[in-house]
Amino acid sequence: MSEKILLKNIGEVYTMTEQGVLRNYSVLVENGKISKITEKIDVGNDIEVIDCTGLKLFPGFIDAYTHIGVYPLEWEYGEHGVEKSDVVAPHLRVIDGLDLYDKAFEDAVRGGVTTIASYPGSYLSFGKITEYMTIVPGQSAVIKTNRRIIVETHGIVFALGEHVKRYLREQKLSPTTRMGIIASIRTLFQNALDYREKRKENQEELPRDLKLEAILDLLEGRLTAFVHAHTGNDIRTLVKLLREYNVNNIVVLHGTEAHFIADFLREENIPVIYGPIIFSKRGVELRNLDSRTPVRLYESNVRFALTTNHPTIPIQYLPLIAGVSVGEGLPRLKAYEAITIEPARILGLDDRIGSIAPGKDADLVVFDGDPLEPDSKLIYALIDGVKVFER
Amino acid sequence: MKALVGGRIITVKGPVINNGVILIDNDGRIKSVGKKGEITIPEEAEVIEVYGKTITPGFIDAHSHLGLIPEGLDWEYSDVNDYYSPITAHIRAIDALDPYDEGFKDAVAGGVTTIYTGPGSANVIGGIGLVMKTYGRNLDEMIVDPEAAVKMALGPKRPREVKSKLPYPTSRMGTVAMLRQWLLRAREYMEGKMKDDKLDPDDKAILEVLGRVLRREMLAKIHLSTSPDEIYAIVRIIKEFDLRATIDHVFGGQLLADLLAREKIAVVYGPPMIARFASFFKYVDDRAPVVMYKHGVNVSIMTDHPVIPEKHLRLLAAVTVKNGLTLNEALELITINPARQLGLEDRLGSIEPGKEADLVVASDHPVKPTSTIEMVFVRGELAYSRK
Repeated sequence: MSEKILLKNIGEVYTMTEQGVLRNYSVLVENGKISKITEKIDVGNDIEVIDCTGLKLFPGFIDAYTHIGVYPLEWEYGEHGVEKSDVVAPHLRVIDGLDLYDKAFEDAVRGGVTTIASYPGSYLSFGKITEYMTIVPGQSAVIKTNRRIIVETHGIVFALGEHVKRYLREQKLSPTTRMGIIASIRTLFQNALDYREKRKENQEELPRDLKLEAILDLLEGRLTAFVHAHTGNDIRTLVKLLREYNVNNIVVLHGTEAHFIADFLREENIPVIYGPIIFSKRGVELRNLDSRTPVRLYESNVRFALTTNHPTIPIQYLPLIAGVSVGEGLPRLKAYEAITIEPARILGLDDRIGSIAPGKDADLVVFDGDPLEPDSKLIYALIDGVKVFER
Repeated sequence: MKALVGGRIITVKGPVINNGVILIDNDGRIKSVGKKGEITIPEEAEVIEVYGKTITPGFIDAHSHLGLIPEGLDWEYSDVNDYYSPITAHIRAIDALDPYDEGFKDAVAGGVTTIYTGPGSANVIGGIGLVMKTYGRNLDEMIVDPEAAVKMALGPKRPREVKSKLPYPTSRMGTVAMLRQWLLRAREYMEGKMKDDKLDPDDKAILEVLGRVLRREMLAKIHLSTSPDEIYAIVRIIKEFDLRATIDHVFGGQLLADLLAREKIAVVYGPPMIARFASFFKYVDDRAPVVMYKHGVNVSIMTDHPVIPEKHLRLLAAVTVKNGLTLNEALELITINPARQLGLEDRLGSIEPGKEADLVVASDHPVKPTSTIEMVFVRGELAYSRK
């Protein structure tokens, strides 16, 4: 790719770096990357120039917790998010069952979302008859919304809570308590460590075990641990177990009651992908769900990103969700961060995405106003330096 | 008497008044509204300064299940669908409603002051829903109309494990046939052509209720399950029986906006913000309420709480702005339009003298999700304050 695009005279550049907001700057894009951010620039006629006078430039938005591609039309094709034959399945990879032609990718671009992470597992919805969640549903992936997979296997999801227990009971499976669920994960970790030793000693006689190798990928730091839980207690329990096995990279998914254990999360430096905030307090474990919680996390210095958890809330509304947090009292800059640089950091991809700086991927969105407001419009979107949307 | 002084008043039916005054009398009604300086503030009035704030009517949701599907509790407390029979016109939401559900507090904090809440869509005729305020000291004080509308629901019905009095229809045709049959029976019953002593007590109660619908004393809220063909079916039923009705959900309405405008049928769209994750949602399109509005259809927006929490009704209005309405047009969808649909336009839905003082005071236009709701008044009483 040798395409060059110049975004010229941009009214405001929200860099999401220490540089803050730059006014009347230009951004040069070369070979899919941001190459220059400058006040004045002279370019030849061989390059495309986009006049951005009076417009606002943001890094493309990131939703770090979706099920895009997993549930394009669930009832037609069955449940792709959860493998029912195996309730502890760390070796399953979401990319192996992900529809890259899910229309949600187009919807995402329309909303200014340029990167998503997609996870196996269930999602919250009222249209569904059943809701499945297993103890370990598998591995997540990170995908640009131009359908380019950038991290094939990113992390393993561990779940605790009502949905897991209800599913196990409905299927007449065990374990049936949180104690038993945690013990089954601990056994799995122990088996993985034993397997590593035995493979070292006698490779030929021990057949390969993908499940245990996936756990070793986690224990040896190649994968992130995603803690899927709502109540403060369930989050804490899973984190404690993972720390017992020295797992460093831990991220909380949902985290409905994360504010109850804010001190713990801050001390352990564990971030939360919080949401979806637009959901009712259905059932007991969601009784403390509240669209004000992101403000509380901010006030207690817990790192967090905001999510739609698509398809619970359609992906294109990510900026509106961030707008709701502002209405609840979150400073506007924090709300921008919660859908740009914070999810990038949480995914460990902030060297590539989530901010506007030389060398970063040219995932850029141009709005005619504040993207958190409903009456602002997306004017252009670039992913990897290629224009994917133009109004 | 209270006086809200200094805000930008979006009256909805009249012009926007900058630096305005609203006087609220002791009965909780709006006494007068106008520009500051043009309205005399009586000495005894409690002055509430709202300089720099935006004031709108309280929001109205014409389709919700708040208080019937509980917040933070399990199914034991959920009383929205009764599988006793596919025809349960005689059962009433008010007999199950929990006014202490936390969702009411959240709703007020979100500026929602009036809701229709009622039975679900599992039955062909589900029962009687009510209109209520979200704030009050007790249920009696909250009730606006305990028997406001009868819920009817098209679409195939799912057979359940429980034994029901009548079998459930499993196709769209079957549902329409059952609905017509009962409306026709009710017509005969009204005309005295059915012998009372031959009816079982349930059926008699059902026919009494349907008679009130046929006499246009009660609203029919007719639920569309999935697709635009059901809009045609509902229009046929409304015309055949001359019903006072709204079409609820109205997915696919963007395709039939002409028809709805021509027939002057009001619709409660939504909820917006749901994904097309199942094939039966293939006609879901958040542009629909915008297209229908622009065709002149009376559109309101539902939360269908708990599908979207009642509190976030204004966010759903914002979705219509995202799809082409102005902020003030979107506001109509959650104020005057649902008031008209529920037959309450002389009491609610705009800021004008004589109407109930249900008011939202926000830091900016409340259809912007980034605005903060600071005070909410219900019948002139401070029902929520952020401080």
